[in-house]
Amino acid sequence: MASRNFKVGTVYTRVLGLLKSGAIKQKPLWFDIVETFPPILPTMHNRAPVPGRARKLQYWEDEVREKFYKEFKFIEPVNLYETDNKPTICDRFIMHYEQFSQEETDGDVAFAKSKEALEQEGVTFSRIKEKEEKEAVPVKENTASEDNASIENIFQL
Amino acid sequence: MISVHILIYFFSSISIVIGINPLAHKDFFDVRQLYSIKSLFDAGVHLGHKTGVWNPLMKQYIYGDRHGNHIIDLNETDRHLFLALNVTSHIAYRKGVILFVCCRPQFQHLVQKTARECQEFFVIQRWRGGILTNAHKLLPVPRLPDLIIFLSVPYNMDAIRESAQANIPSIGIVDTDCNPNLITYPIAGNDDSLSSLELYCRLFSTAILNAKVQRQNDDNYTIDKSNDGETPRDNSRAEMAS
Repeated sequence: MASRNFKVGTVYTRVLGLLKSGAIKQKPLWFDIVETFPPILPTMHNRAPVPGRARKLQYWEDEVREKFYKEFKFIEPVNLYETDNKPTICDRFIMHYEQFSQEETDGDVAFAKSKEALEQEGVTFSRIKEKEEKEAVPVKENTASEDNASIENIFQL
Repeated sequence: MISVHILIYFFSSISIVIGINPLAHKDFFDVRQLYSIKSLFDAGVHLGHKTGVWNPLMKQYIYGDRHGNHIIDLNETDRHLFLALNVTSHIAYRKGVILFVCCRPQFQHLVQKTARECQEFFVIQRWRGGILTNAHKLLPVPRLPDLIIFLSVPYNMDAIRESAQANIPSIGIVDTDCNPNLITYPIAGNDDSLSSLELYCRLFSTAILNAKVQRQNDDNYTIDKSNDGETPRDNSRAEMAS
C-alpha cells in the first residue's frame, strides 16, 4: 500500500488513481469522507510560501500607554487567569485620552488633561514620584586617592 | 441545545433505516457546539513563537507580529479545526481506527490518557521508522489506522512523511515554526502550552466519543427494528447488553 509517489497529488487523488487502475479493489474507510470534506488547501509537498512578512500589529494607544508607564510608573495587580478584568488605571487614562485627543490636536495637552481628569476621579499621581525621590540614593563622589591612581603611586596608601 | 441534540438523534437514528446519508449534512455530529473562538483564545491557542523562528509557510495562518511575537489568526484556526473535528467524527462513526501521535515528553501522559478515554490508539514513545510503510514486517497484525492525529508536529516529521507515503489522511497542530505542507488537515495553533494541548485533546476525544455514541444508538435502533415483530422490546435489549 505504501507509495513512493507521495510527492505527487494528494492522499485522495493517489487513492482515486489506484482505484481507477484496479490496483486496490476496495475503497479505504476514509475515502468518501475526504471526498465530501476536502481540505481547505490541497496538500502539496512543495507549496510555496505566501511572499512577505507578517504585518506589524501596532495601535495608537500603544504610544500613550508607553508614555503613561514611563511618567507615572503605576504597578497594579492584574489577574491573567481572568479574561474580564476591571479596567486598570492605565485603561481609564486611555479612555480619557481618546476623548481629549478629539478636541486637542496637541498630544501633550491631551495627556495633561486626561491626567487632571483622573485626579478628579480620585487617583493620586504625585505620591509615587515623591516616594521615589526620597528613596533615591545619592551617587557617591570619587575619592581623591582613586583620582590620581597610577603605577607610580601604587604603594602610597 | 438539548432540542438540537434530540433532533439530531432523531434524524440519525432513522438514518440507516430510511437511508439518510450522514455525509449529506454539513455538521452532522454538532461539532460546532464543542468550542467557540473565545474558548480558543482563553486557552492561548493564538500565541505563536518569536518572529525569528517562524516558518514562512505559515504566513497565511498568522494574524500579525505583536512586539516580536507572532499571533495566529483564530478565524483560520476555527475553519480548519471545525473541518478536522468533523472528519474525525465521521471516521469514528464508521468505526475507523484513529491513532494519536505525540512524542513530546511533556504531553505523553496527557495524550495517552486521551486516547484511552476514547478507546483509540496512541504512539507516545519513539516513532519506529517504517511502522506504516513496512507494517507487515514490524507488526504482528498489519492493520493500518484510518486517521492519524499529530499533536506535536516538529517531533514527528518522519511520521508525517510516512503517513503520506502510506496514503493515510492526517490531522496536525501546526505552530508558527512548523511545516504544514504534508499534513492533510493542518490546524494552526499553539502546540507548546499545556492549556492549549488540553483543549485539543478534550475536543478530539469528545468528538470521537459523541460519534461512537451516535453509532451505538443507530445500531441499537436498527436491531430493535428488525426484532420488533418476533421478540418483545425488553428481551432484545437484554440480549444486546449481554
